[in-house]
Amino acid sequence: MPGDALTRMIARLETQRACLDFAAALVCDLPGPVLEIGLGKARTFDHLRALFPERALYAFDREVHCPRELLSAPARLLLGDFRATLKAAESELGGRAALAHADIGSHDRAADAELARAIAPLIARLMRPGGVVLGDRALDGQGWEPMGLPAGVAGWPYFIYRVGAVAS
Amino acid sequence: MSRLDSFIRRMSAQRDCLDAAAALIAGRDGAVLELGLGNGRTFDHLRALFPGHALYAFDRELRAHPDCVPDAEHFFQGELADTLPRAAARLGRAAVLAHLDLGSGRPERDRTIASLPPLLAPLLQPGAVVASDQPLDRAGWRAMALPASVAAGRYYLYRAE
Repeated sequence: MPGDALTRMIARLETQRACLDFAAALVCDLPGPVLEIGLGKARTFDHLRALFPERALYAFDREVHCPRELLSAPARLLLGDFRATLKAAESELGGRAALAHADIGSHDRAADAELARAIAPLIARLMRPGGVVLGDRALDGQGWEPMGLPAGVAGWPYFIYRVGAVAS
Repeated sequence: MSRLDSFIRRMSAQRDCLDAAAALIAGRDGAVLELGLGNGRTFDHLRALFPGHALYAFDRELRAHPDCVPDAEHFFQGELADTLPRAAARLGRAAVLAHLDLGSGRPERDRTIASLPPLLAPLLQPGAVVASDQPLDRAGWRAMALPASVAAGRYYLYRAE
């Protein structure tokens, strides 16, 4: 991406917010919990909380880097490697999640691609048919249909998918 | 307003105020000071805005992204109460712009920012611009209008005498 670090940061966050708002509108009538995969500083988690005040939120990360009070109930925190925690969540969440946001990007593109390959099928098992998965890296879930980004978003790459009627 | 909203608002205000400050000092020579380097994002923006100017960064410790790290000659490490006088002794009234990105959100810590203008003033050229995320009070510093995109009280621009 062109531009300096401040300009890029603003473009990334504005894209993220526009995509989250867009995805939230897509699932407003679809019940089910919301997953934040990659909690980080909990900025987007807090945004999801504002978009979905009534829903259960599940946050996945290796460790907590944000103030704990942001994670008050009904949020659930699942700490550990995504591959393990997403798998472990299946018994509770399998086929129920309406929306999943995967904020997993790092500076290591190859490692990101490998992680995306590993977790896409695990996320897929948690999703409700018709649900929406979005993230800062491409995710190849079986039966997921890529969607265009909301109008006006051009400053940063983001990826949005609609989960097919037949869950994988 | 979510934390994502408020963070975007803060970053955008910072960018817009720095861009406005750049317009205010357009055509003038002089050093640019970044007080509070942090991860180096605004330092990188200042580098893009002021390619021909010497940039000096100040912070307690160096924890910027590797792409945004000043060299040793342009980095003053330590408490500002120590580093600003040291910089003034070395650089004199060299700066045409100073940016203060020091707010921690903790009032007891941010109170010390009020003590900085007398330490900063000896580094500023007459007519230099000060941009800050915290209000500053110094006789002879005139508050300047903010860009239209930035609400009053969110960022501060001053013209030093």
